[in-house]
Amino acid sequence: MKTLSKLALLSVLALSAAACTVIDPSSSSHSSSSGGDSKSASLMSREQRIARFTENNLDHLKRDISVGQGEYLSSLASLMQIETAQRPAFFAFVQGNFTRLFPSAQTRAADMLAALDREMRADPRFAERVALN
Amino acid sequence: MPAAVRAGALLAIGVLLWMSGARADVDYLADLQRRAAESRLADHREWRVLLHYRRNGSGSEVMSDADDPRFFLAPGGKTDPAAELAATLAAFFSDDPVGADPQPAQCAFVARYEWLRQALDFDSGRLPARPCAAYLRWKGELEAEAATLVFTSAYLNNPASLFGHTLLRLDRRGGSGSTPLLAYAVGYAADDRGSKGLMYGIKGVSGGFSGYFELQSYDRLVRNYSDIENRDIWEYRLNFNADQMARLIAHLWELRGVRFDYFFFTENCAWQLLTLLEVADPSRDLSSRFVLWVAPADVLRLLSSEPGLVGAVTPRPARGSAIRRRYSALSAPERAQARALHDDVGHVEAQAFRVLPSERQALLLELALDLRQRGGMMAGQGEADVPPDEGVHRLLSARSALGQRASRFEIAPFAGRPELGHASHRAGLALGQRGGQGFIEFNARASFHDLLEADAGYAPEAGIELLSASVRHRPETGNTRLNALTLISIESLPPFNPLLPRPAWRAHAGWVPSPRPGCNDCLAFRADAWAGFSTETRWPWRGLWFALPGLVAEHAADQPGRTGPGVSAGLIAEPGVGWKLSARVTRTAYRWGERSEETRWALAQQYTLKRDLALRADWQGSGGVREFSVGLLVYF
Repeated sequence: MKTLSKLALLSVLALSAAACTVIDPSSSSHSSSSGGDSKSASLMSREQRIARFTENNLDHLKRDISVGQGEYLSSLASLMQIETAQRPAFFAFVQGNFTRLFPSAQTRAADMLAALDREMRADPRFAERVALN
Repeated sequence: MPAAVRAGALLAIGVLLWMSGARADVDYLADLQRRAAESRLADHREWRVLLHYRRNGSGSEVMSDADDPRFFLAPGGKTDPAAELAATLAAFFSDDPVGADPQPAQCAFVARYEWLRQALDFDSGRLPARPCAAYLRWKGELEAEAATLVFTSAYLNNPASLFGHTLLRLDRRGGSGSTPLLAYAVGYAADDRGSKGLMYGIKGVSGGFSGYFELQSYDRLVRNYSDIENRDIWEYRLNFNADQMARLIAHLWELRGVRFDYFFFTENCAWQLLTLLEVADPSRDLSSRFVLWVAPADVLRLLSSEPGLVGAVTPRPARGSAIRRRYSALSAPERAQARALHDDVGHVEAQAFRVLPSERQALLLELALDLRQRGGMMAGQGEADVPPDEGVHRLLSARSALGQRASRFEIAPFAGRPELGHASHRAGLALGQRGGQGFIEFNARASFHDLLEADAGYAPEAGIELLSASVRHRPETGNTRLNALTLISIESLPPFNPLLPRPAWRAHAGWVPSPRPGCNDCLAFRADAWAGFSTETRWPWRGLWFALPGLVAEHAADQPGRTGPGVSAGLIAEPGVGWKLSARVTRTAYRWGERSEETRWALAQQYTLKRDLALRADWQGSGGVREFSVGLLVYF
């Protein structure tokens, strides 16, 4: 029992202690492809940033696109450099095109971005924006 | 002139020029070092914070917290700020790679270079500035314009996160207010790979871990904390100007890959972020305000008390909080619809659902989506490749077809702003009577919160107490003894929610009063764990009812140990703001070791007088001995 109480004391020290989290290898490995990496200083193009963000947050983006608003959709619009004034129209546009952007549950981030590019080119309001990309 | 002679003459001229250049370098370096010494630059606050120097206990010497030799340029740089400064100036004349990410000193230590350049007014003709392309690219990608301190609330299901976590987010230029997800955030973390169990505790306390400052993209952090671990987040914008931000970013570049010894109590994530804020604004003295123990909430309390430092505070409720808030805003028939949607996505076609107003349909679909996506994310361990779910797709299609009728709904987080709650240390004085004998009690708690204390600033229905002790003096007999010592006590009683069921549980380890015939003051070491069910009622006041089956093990000196199952049940009610009552009964049947049965009951109430002052009254009994006490608690 003495050992038990010592164990308890030690584990309390450990807990008390761990006011913070520890390095999570799964999450830090991802930074190697980003400028935020602690070692390298690589540069990501805007296309790469759009692709990375879409891939990492596809479930949130799906939800925001179906709802027609949300922080993830705003972030995508910001990465795509869509001006604030044009965003309400853009949000309504992606919501209206949900089934084209996500034809099935299996649609992947790259497929969605390709479909988005196609749909925007076909729309006079956004065609110019795509050309700038 | 023969070619050989001409070549020889040119070489001689070259050598002379090189020597005079080197001579100029040496002279100019000596001049800089002399001026630096004269103006005692090494004693300046800016230099001290950039090198993470701190006075030792007696205050006579300084030592840097950094434990990586590559962070210093002088051999004794860790303890000698002046020698380090002189060596730094010398290194600026050289292109030799130095630092954790080897490159010329001017580029490896950009913040030191910039400060010394301004302080000594470098002559760019005699000490030319090196181009630092890698740094400029890195800075360009961060695009940081502002800094936000991020607090993630406590997460009771992971021992490493019981007290919350703090990070510093580097908000991007250009409307980053609307897109913080695209920013990077810096945190300080221990690299504990390879340490498990006991070693974790020992190394953590003794500084055996290595700590590093790490940058991660904020969207990934939000996924981890908010989506998977269900932790509410609070974001505190810091009022740094452009110069302060530039210093912060330059210093973060210097810290990449630099090793610090990680001490859980002091040199932890919360404290180390303060050292970064001091680099941004050296006029603020933040890190020396803590001596023994720094919890993330303490840091927020300190920063909020600093004039002009904290700007707008924004909540980021966890996905689970959004689900609970949406569900509780539904009418009873709507709840039935929500459960039907959750059980069978085909319900979107049902007549009962389709007759609802479209904004209510939207709200129910969004709730169902959150639930299903959260489930998928948990199953996929939070990785981006959440398995495809036809049900989710059907809900998404149905929601998009409803158009942009936004079901406007403000979602408040459950965990309050930590700086608004009571401080985490507590001390108290109480008077009482036990078994007919009066006593005076002094009690103290290292941290954090129990369920009788006001919820403000803490996650409701969750309590964590660490290292809490009470000592009693009996005026009649004149003796003073330890009454109880809690090592740890954790309680999590989330009310049952059919859509998002979470267990209610409690665990405790420590010494408790265990009166026996002839030994009224005896103590026993007791470890117990319970898991069960909790539900809330709203009438006449908010009440939290719980019933928890569990297991208890107890051992007293000179006694055989005893272990057995038990049940603990009770109620925590809040009749008014700052006034809480609790009643609980615990019945244990010891089956192993000394066979016996025991019933403990306790009635307690606490009235919060002001944020850091409260009255508490306790009435409890066990083993036929009753006690009553009333006392005052002070938080600090």
